[in-house]
Amino acid sequence: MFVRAIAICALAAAMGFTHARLKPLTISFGSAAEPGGGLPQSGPASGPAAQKKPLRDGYIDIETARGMLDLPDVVFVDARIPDEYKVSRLARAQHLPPDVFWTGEMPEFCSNMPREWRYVIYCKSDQCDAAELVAVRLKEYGYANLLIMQGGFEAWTKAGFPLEGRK
Amino acid sequence: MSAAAPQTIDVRDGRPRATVIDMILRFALGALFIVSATAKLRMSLDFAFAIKAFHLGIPENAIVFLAYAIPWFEALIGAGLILRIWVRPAALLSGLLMLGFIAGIVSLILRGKDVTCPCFGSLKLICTGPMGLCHIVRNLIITLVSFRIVQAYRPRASA
Repeated sequence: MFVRAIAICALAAAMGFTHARLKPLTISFGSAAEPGGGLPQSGPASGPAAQKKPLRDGYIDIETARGMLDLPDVVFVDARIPDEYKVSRLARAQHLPPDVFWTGEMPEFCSNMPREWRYVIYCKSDQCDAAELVAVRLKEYGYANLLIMQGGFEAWTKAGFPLEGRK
Repeated sequence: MSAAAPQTIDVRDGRPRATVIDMILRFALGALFIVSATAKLRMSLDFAFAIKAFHLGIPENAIVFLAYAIPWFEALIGAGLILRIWVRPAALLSGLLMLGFIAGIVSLILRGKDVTCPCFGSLKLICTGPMGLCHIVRNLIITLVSFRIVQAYRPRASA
């Protein structure tokens, strides 16, 4: 029985390896860290505020995101689970959790939201990968101006920035 | 009075001790794994992200490998159970896989991580939302069914 079990494992490994070679996946958004996260710095040129840990390309910190909140061509995208979104969210944030893409059909979001706008995606915290997954998925649907908010909802709330719904 | 002959298992004549209920469980478990494998292979990217969310510290190409290998593993288990090919090894691996998933989910809970898995695609099998206690209980039931099948399909000893 154990020899056959090992044979099943070996066959599955071979099939998985072959499939991975035939259909590679990109499971990260953005590239290695560069100073300023690739965006123009609006803060001080020196001092503690400028001594931040460099962000990966495509990532912005919460202060930069706060500055973008009221821009007309910027949409915040909430990638958290529905229960969390219903309770509280960033002002005017659109809800787009990863499981919306599981049906295989184009989500309503992609039918309604213009490709040329900028989208700032966040999830619960840095421990959650939902924002990255949503960003990768949106890229597949032709969205190029995507940013992920480092620190997520928790960091935003901790900083006392504006929210909708009860806290 | 002669000594009792030692019991031997004649594999050619070996008949499983499975009941009708065991057969139903075998089919149901096999079908479950086929559905799960199909969903994961359809949504390889999402499943890869679910694996990535465990933060196992493995390189990305290893994550991609697992994102494909695990569904194929499930497909082979499901096929074995349904077609009655290597039933006991398939059921054993099913149980071990579920125990592995349970360990992973416990690890997520202890580390306070929210991970949603496209384990069954858009078919949300009882448990919805991030992986938690419900998923542990569900996987535990699958584990028990798996080991029941291992036990039920052992060959009958012939005298």
